[in-house]
Amino acid sequence: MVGNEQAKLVLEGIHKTYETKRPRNTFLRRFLPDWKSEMIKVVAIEELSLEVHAGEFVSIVGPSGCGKTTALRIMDALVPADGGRVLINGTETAEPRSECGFVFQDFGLYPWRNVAANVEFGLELRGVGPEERRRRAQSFIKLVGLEGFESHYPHQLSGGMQQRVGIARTLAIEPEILLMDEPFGSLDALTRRIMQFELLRILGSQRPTTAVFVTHDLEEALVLSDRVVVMTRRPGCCKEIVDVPFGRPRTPEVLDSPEFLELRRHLWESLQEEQVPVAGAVQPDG
Amino acid sequence: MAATVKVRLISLVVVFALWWLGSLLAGDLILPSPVTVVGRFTDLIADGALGRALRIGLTSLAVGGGAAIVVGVPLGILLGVHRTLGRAFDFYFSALYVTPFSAVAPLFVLWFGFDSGTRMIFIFFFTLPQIVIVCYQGARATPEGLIDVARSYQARPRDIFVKTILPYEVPFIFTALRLGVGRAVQGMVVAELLISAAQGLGFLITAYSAALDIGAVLAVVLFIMFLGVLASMLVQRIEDAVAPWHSEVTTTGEPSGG
Repeated sequence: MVGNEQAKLVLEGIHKTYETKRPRNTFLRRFLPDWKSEMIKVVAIEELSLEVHAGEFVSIVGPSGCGKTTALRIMDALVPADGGRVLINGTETAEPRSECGFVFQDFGLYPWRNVAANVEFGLELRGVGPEERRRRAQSFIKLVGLEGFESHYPHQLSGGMQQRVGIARTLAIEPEILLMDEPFGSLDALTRRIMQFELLRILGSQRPTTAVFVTHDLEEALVLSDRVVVMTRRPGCCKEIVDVPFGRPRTPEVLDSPEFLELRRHLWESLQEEQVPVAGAVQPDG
Repeated sequence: MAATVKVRLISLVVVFALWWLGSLLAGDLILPSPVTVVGRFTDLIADGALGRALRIGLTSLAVGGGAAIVVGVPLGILLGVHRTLGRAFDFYFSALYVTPFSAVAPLFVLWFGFDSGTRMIFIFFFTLPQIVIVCYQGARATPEGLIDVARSYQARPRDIFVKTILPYEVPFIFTALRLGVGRAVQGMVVAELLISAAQGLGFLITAYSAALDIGAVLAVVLFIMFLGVLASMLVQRIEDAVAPWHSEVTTTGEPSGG
């Protein structure tokens, strides 16, 4: 068995290829999409390896379409990899694992469940009884600051509040590893900043949680993480890993420190090199 | 709510005024005035003709339409969830939906005979495709993202079905019921017009139009329309009670900010 015994989560040489139909724009072919359609292969991820240790917060940043979200979904076996292995606590993964909790970019709340019932969802699937479920859900609703909103439905809440529900729902199953897919990506800038420090507060109050956090926001990655993984443009693989030296608990002052600005500049330059040149972005249609 | 009632009352008053004006211009024989129609309506109730016809009609409606719901809802969901079955059978229901049922009504008589059972079978096949199609589309429309949420909590396929696909389907079932009730009422009248010669609301319409009693024809037709609206409102009320999240989402549109 390969893999560091210390590592909570290991990716070993992950590959992922998509097959899509070549897009066509002629009038007729829009109505007959399957007629003489040509499948093209897109290599999303090539040789991605990564080790995440217990209690560590790792962010993954990269240019759009580099496969960072796909990599996260592979970690939770929501999509299968075409090659390589995912090891969680040393054992290979083929199906979503109970050690992992996934937080979705679009919140993924059930519109027919109110806040309390959404937070109870994972516990319900695990067969926790109603009394116990209510008690545990309530403590996490309180933790994310939504006391008093238990019987609200998702459409009655703002985006920030909806993601608080999403986080409470995931924390309620007490996962060892949190996998977060651009959880604040659809929020406005101010709410996003507030939620970043809320997440630090929430995780700080929990037992040490291991987290992998996908984002395209470099400041967000630096504020939250112990390490930041920079991915190359597609086909994505690991370009470099940046250590973030700030201690915990972190306060907003960290944003103004010279080290922070320096690290942000470094990450920015690193990502700039991965931007697809504009001329190359337009593929000549064979 | 009060505003809705007000607007609808005004709209009804305007329509009735126009109707009354039209009957003045055309003459009571061609277009009977509302007063004449209401008069014929009370006659029909008084002599028991409407009551008898309604009892017969509602019985075949309840059995035929009820069977279409009981069969159509699970069948639509099954076709939506099971891809191969869906591909194999979905187009039959599209075909059934556009079948000219009034033209094939004689076949029903040929196959099933000339009694009330045939009317029920007719209503069943007339209503079934609508219910199957709506439920089928609902089951297929469950967002992949919501299924992923369930999977990320290690939901088994059965949990995904019960806790994600079925709740998402609920508003579609109500839409199917609303549309299905309307279609079943249509089917009932068509069946009574074409299949059994001496019973039901359709028979009343045929008999009175043969006698050129336009007032009575309109009284029966308006009564059928009223029944349809009432049934559809009833289904809406039940939906508001059972799936409050859906009607609020659809009536308030965008989620509130804040």
